[in-house]
Amino acid sequence: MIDPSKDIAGLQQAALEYLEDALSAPDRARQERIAAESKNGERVLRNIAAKRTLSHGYYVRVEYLLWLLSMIELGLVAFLQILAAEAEGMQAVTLARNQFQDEHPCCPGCGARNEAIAPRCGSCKRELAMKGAA
Amino acid sequence: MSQEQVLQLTGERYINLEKKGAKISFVLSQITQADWTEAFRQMRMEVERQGQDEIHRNDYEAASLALFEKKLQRVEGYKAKGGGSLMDFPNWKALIPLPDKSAAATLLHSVGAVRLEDDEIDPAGTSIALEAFWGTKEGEMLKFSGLTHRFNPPDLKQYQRFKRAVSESRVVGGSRTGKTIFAGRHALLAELYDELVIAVSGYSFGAQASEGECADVELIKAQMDAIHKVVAARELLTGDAAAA
Repeated sequence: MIDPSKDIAGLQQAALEYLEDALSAPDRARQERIAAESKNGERVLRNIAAKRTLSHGYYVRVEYLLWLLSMIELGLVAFLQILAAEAEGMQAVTLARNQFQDEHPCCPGCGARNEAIAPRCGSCKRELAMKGAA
Repeated sequence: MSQEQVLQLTGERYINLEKKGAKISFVLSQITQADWTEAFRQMRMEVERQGQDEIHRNDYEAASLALFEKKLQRVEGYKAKGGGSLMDFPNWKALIPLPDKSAAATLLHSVGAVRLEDDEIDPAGTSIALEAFWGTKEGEMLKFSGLTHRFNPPDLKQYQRFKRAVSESRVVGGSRTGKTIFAGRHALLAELYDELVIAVSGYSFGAQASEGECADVELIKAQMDAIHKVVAARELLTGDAAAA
């Protein structure tokens, strides 16, 4: 029996998938609306389903760790008692969040996240500097 | 709900069904906090991944059924073959059709939160409104919709206890293919209810029935139906009230 709170590598992977899911959620919602009116809607829905590879409990745990991180970042940590598994879990989630932020930098104009290789912002269409470009 | 129709928490509890025109009444002794706590231990939910599908299962019904059978004192309305009452048989509980028992057990927790339109923050406490089906001696199931619970706001530690419990799970059979098992959070929610409740209205506590709002916290903690506690506390921590 696996306890997701103790599987640190699994939590890191789940956190990355969770953040990727959150980023693509508006696009998925739009495609779901299209699928609802399409003849092969069921197939479309299968293709746009959230790409999650781990058991459900991992993502629930990640949600909690992200909440805990946000409380700490707000300076409310003094009120909270942190367990060892939570501290290790937050470290895993932080690593995943750093990787996610690296792969999806914010547009300097509107703040929307984009792919690192995107030439233009998907939201405000501003031209983006390519990562590593001179 | 008229003003005199308040939900009577103490004494025998009636669950009334209608089957092919006949009225069936199940009479239960009062379900105590300890009874519910025992049932809560059996309640859990499983989420299993099968390919891209996610399958949810829960054991709530079996736990409710066990509680129902434990508290059932008598039944009225069934006719036995050859005349007489079902109660004349020593194994009368086992003779009750399972679908009827299951329906009655489900009615034990037929309570839900009602959205309040009032968006203003009340410094005297956060109010949560519930509505519930509850049986009467007269053979009816009445819908009570003026059940209000007033709470102190949960502090960060209480909220963390709730969030921590919600995030706890076990994965059986491997992280990629296995199923996640969540133990019920009912006991914790009932505990948080007891810590936070200030007053309730719409309920009667037997001889100590009070007009309007009851602010006797010890009485509420001892007599409030635990499922009502769970639903009210859950709404406080996760519903609109929590987001306010």
